[in-house]
Amino acid sequence: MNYVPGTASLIDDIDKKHLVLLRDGRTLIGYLRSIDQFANLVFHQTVERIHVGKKFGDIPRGIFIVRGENVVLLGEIDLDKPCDTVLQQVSIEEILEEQRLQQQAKQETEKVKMQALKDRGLSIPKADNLDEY
Amino acid sequence: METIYLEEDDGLVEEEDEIDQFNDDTFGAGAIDDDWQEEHKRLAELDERDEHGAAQPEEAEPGGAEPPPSSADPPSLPSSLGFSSSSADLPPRGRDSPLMSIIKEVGLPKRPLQGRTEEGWDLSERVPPPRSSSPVIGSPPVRAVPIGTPPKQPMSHALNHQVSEASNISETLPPQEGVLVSLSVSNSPLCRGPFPPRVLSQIQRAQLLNSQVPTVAGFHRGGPGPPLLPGGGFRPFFGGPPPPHGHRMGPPPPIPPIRHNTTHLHPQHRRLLTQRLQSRGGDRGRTAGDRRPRDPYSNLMSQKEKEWVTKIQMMQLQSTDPYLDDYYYQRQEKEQDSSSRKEHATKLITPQVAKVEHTYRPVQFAGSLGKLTVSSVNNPRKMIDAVVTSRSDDEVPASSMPPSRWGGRFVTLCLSPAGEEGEAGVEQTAADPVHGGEGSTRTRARLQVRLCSDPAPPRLQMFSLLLEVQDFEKRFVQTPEEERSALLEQHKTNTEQLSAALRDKDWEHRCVGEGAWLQGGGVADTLPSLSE
Repeated sequence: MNYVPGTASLIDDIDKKHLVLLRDGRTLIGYLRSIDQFANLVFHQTVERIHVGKKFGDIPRGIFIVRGENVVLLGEIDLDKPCDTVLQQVSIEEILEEQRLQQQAKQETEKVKMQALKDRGLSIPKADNLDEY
Repeated sequence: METIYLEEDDGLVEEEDEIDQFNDDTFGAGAIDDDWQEEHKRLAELDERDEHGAAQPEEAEPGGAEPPPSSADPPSLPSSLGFSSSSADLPPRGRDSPLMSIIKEVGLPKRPLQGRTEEGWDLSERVPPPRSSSPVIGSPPVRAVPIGTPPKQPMSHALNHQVSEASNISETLPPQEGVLVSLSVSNSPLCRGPFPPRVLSQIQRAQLLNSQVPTVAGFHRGGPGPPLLPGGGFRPFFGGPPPPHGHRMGPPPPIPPIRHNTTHLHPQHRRLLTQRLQSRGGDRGRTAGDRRPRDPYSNLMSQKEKEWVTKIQMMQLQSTDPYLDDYYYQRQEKEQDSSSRKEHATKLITPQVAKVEHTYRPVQFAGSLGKLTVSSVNNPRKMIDAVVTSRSDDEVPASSMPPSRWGGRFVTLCLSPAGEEGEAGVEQTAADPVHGGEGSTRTRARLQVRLCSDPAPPRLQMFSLLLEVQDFEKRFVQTPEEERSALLEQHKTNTEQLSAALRDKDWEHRCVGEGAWLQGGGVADTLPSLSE
């Protein structure tokens, strides 16, 4: 909403801290340095934040270039606003461990579900396969 | 320093080996920075060293040419450029020899790069390269970038400059963004005359296009890291009138398949763009400056690049076919247009119906007695032609009532105890129901009961008094100021009489239905007022 009312542009977001959610589920936080017409983003001092439950952990990643089509949403982080979060920051190892456990649990439930479906003669394709269509 | 002449060389054979090297230099670890000045200096030193040291076996023709850089630093070309130097179909030597020679001179040796890296170049240092006055060199290097990459800084300006000094060849070798500076350079000497038809590779075309782009706003700080080339697609955005050095153009560059009339940014859009960019830049500096005073990595994206992106976005909003394009933007534009033009609200045009006075005129036939009544909602069936008279209750105007006036209607209203009175006649006059607005209620309530012969019986008198008292308030409001005191007096008298009558009168049980009810009800209503 800058040059022409009714339009949206990322120009005003440059050099500000942003949080971007990617299609693969990753959350990146960094300073948006550059954009282009496809909304490809260049992030600086990027941190990948992993959330598991009420805990989170930050993995510093450096410079990230995100292809525009992989962005789900992008939001500016207001650094002036007081950060009152209920989330608890933990170390990287811990959060990775938590994530692994979470994935494991998810896979197991999924397996049970698929088995149950198979027993009933139904087969629902997994979501990740659909993308390839 | 160095001059370039057309010359043959065998440097081509070595290019194949060095292609990957160059690639690495450009995109890999070797490419760190683009400060061409330093690089150029180094090159120059290197060349001089090589000149003396190395033999010149590759030098096919002596000419007066400056010996090309030694074989140690052959220029390497990425094969993707399609330069076809390594392939079988080498372009005719004659044409490319200037190119080759330049490449040799200019090549990006690895050493200088490494040297620069070691020095730790500051990324944030961006000095715009000075203009080149050489007629040959000066265009930005060609990289294998697709059309549509953001603009590089003002390389094109350099190129324009060189055309103006076409005859001046003895200029120094200018900027070194890469080896393939010469691609467009090679066109330049050929362009002066009638241009020979020539198949340009895509990159060459891109360079041409890029080179013709006029610099909009002077020099800006250089781009980030590896230098970016203006893409060939740049032309459509700035296009419009042929570039100032149109004669340099070869076969017309491929215009991307977009609608022609949208290749130029709508002037309104362009104006808005530049306006707002400037203002916004100013504002941004102030506010962001307060918050982050020292962000060394800020403004990596130059103003020009921002403009460029915004331009693309706005171009997409321009449309020739509203049905095909951005729906929401079209709608918004329509709204804005309509709101700006239509200051006066459009009025709803409804058929105007003349207001006609509708008064009731009862149907009359000549010679008939009375009036015909056609019953309707507005005119319920008229049974009585009644009109209010001002005769007092005590009078017996029986004689004044001509029997003929009674017409065909004669309403017997039993208002009194059955035994005492006979019939009571209702005074009939030619009453107009319309006029009975105020009077109609009064007529209704104040049916003057007249006895044929006797004076009004006390009950009737009482009732009349009652009616008077009840109507006092109404009348009081309607009478003018002067008469109000008189009315008040009369009201007082009436109430006194009524109360006296009520007290004195011994109420006999009468078998009167309506009459007693009327009287009783009326009395009940007026009791509160009587007590006052």
